[in-house]
Amino acid sequence: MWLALAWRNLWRNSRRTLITVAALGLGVLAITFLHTYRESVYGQLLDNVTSGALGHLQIHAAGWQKNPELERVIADPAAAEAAVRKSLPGAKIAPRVLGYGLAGSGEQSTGAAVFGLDPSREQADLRFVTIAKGKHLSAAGQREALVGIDLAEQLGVGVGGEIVLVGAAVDGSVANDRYTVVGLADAGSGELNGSGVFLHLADAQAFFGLGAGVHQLVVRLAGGGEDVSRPTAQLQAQLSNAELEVLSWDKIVPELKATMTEKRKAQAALAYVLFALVGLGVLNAMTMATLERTRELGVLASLGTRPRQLLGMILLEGLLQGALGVAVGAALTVATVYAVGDISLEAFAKQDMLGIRFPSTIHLALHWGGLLQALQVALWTALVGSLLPAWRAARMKPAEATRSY
Amino acid sequence: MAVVQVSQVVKEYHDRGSAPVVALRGVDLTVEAGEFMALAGPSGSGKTTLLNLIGALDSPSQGQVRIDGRDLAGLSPVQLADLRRDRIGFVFQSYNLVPVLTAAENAEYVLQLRGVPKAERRKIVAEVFAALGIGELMDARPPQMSGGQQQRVAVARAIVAAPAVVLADEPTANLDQASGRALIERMHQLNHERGITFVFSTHDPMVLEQAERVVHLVDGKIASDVRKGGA
Amino acid sequence: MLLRLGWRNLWRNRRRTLINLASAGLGLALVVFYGGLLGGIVADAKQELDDAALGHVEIAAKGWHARRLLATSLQNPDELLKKLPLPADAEVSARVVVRALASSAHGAQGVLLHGVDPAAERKVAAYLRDVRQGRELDPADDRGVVVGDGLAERLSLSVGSKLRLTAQQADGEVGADVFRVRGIFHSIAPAIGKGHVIMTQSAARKLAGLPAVVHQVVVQLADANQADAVAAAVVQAAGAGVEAPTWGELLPILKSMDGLIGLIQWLIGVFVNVVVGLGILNTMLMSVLERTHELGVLQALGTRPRGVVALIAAESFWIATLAVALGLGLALPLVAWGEQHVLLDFSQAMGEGMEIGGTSLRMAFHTRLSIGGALQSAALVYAMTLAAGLWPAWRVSRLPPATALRSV
Repeated sequence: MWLALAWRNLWRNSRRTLITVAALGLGVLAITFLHTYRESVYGQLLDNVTSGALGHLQIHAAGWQKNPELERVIADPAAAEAAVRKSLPGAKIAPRVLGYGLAGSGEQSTGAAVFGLDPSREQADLRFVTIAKGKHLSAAGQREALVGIDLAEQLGVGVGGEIVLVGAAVDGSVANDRYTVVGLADAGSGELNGSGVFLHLADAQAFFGLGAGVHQLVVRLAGGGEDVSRPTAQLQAQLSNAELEVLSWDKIVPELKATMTEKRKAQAALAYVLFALVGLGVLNAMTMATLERTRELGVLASLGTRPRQLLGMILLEGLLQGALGVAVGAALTVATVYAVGDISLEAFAKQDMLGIRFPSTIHLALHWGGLLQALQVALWTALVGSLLPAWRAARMKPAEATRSY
Repeated sequence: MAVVQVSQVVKEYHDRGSAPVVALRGVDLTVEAGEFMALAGPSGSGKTTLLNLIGALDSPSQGQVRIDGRDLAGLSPVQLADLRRDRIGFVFQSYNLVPVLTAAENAEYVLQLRGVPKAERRKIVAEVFAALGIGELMDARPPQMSGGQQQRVAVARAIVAAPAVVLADEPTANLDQASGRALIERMHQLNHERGITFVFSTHDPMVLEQAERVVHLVDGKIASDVRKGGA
Repeated sequence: MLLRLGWRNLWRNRRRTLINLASAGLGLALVVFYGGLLGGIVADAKQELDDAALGHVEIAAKGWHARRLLATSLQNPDELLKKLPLPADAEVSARVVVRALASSAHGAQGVLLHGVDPAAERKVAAYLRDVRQGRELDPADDRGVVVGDGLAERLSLSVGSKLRLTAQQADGEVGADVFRVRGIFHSIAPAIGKGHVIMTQSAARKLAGLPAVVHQVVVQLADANQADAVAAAVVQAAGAGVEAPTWGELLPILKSMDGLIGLIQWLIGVFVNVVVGLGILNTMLMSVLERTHELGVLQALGTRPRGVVALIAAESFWIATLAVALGLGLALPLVAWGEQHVLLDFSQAMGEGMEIGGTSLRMAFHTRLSIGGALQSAALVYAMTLAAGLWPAWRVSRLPPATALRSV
């Protein structure tokens, strides 16, 4: 009964209701669209990060992340890998080595980050580099190297050329060797492309004198999302080795996680301000709607309607408008997302943020979390906007009300 | 000279969702300059409709309305507005002063529409207010005034611009007997002294008594048209 | 009279008007404040260049920016600098740039050596003015280096530590030498803190086996807009062997962000105004509806249809004027205050600087007052309220006066 009454009351001034609903709907559109855009970007960023340099999780020798010294190796990577397989079925694992050296081409030399990786384990959705030119490293170590595309340009080497690496081995002796450049690598960030040399894991281990030791076991989870705290804990429990550390991506690049968190907070704040503005509109509309029905509300009151029931009826009108606004906003969002499709960010193409390549095209994918947020905010807005007029109407004495007009 | 000529006028109202209502069924009426004329008749007889047509507020379904010999048919909304501004004054039953303007500003508004300079506006308004005995009300706001006072301000507003005809729709209906009588006497005095033409609708016997010509409308037709001698 | 009438009509329903003013005013305040904040993030290119030790114009031998070869250098730098037409108030620093491997007992790291005149360099590199341990580099000290805190941590260096630097020389030989850390600086950009090593020009030349050349002359201008003109003049004066790219070419993201932020402010402004405008439209419809009879009276008195529209537009005008006063009154002092103070500080959560496109944005945000942007947003408020008033006004002005008079 009340619902039907409130619903019909809404359409007594359909134009006003439609305008209010439109305002609410636009507010909802803004919130859900921004949410969709933001989460689409984060989704892509996260996918780039976890499928490339970082993975979802990494295992290191304790303290390596903070201080990546050459001698801090995982001495028994096979045991650690077994632990990963046991606790996280379906996960992919890539062992890597990281050291520094001077890379020279005869003409020019520069400091380089020297990575060792196993080409057979760097595939599909877990691969450090993509080959921009030439081919990938051979399956066994044959003194081949991939060079970051920008570094190759600086050194003036191409596919088929040769580079000399000079560095210090783990025992302090000078390491020095020649490698054939078989390919140019895109490692997904300007920093790595400008400084990275990628060797076969075995070659890198030999160069730095590491034996079977590796620095990182990079883990890509089968169904990993943003929050990987549970698999991290599971793996930690399984490893139970104080000499190893297990870090999730958000501990490895805390700035990225922080950026995502702060942006979400900032947009939530924007949502509240926006809806405060919409709420003022609702307040005005509902005030008008109750004022012009003062007499009628008086009649309802004199028929024995309790003040609380009047209050409820008007609040219900507000809520219904809020619900309609959400429906309209959701429809607009879906339409906008499909109409916009992909957003090209040419300005940011090949630019890094926090050392991570910013996607140059954003594929919008609907994220309903934003709608949930908008639903809450819109309903509260409609409710709070109706509260004052509803309270005034409920508190009115019937005799006073029927006197008006 | 005929200020108003109404010939063969029919007016039907088509309100949505109800049968058409015929308010006037063929009316012929001529008002000469300087007349002090009353339209009488029961409610629903078409008095207000006829006044609206004469006042260029509405257009007839059939027939012709002329003001100063000018046919209203075919005039644009802007031309009609200008005609009302220049030739017609209105007094309404419920005064209809603009509540946010002072009494003097209500009257000045009409002059301002005509582009009369400010100083002159003040002078004209002060003079008219004095003539109507409401000189002390110039700065009052309508809500602070009594009905009789408001209606005098309305009359002042209707005549400041020296219109060809003042149309008054039931001007005394909301007033008590004494105020109503005083108002009509003022209007009659203006009619005498300044030759302003008045047409008012009424069913107040006191007003009919003062009128020099009484036209009776019944069911949208003129039933009688009586001129009193003298004055 | 029209404006006076509009003003008085505005206050016939005080609460309604106040709510409208609040929503339009707060909306404007939001837009202007947000614009100020966005502007603050990127507006100060000088600050960003200073943080990253980059120039508005960077002069080098032709081809140097592409490959940064040791051999691609500027000969006779002192004479060259004398003949270049640089503004008197520009900050200029000439550098010898060498890539090297820095190593200590605790590890090795690829670094960029800047051989500089310390007095000139500290003016273009904010981090050299922030030496937190030890002291700044002495111009005559060819055995000393200043390193960043990131590198110091990575290689366990402290003031007085030995640092071994290895670099390939111009002739292909490998040169290596040991230096003493004199000072440790702090940079908001972790990459600089980890990767820049500062020494004197002569020390860098000696390590890399170079004659008296420099690779790069960094020029920071007082007015960033002059960059293109200065760069063109430099190329003309120095001849074909010299290139002088500007910051807009070297860091396109800084420039494109400028445009992007303008666009974002515009879009937000339009959006907020549409949402606020719908609320105002509702009340204007209502207030016109309530006064239909009165507007009929005005028409009866001879007001033209356009006059009725103008009357309602006058009301819109006042709403906009008051809302603009309120909105700018709220936002401008806040934005102006934020130019001097930190309004939003993300540095706790996100680190002092966020690396983006080769520069670092400071994460403790100041705002940037843009009167033009504020006025543009204010104009939107006028457009919005006028639009919200026009529709109801147009509707009522088309009503025959007799119909308007009949409405109660």
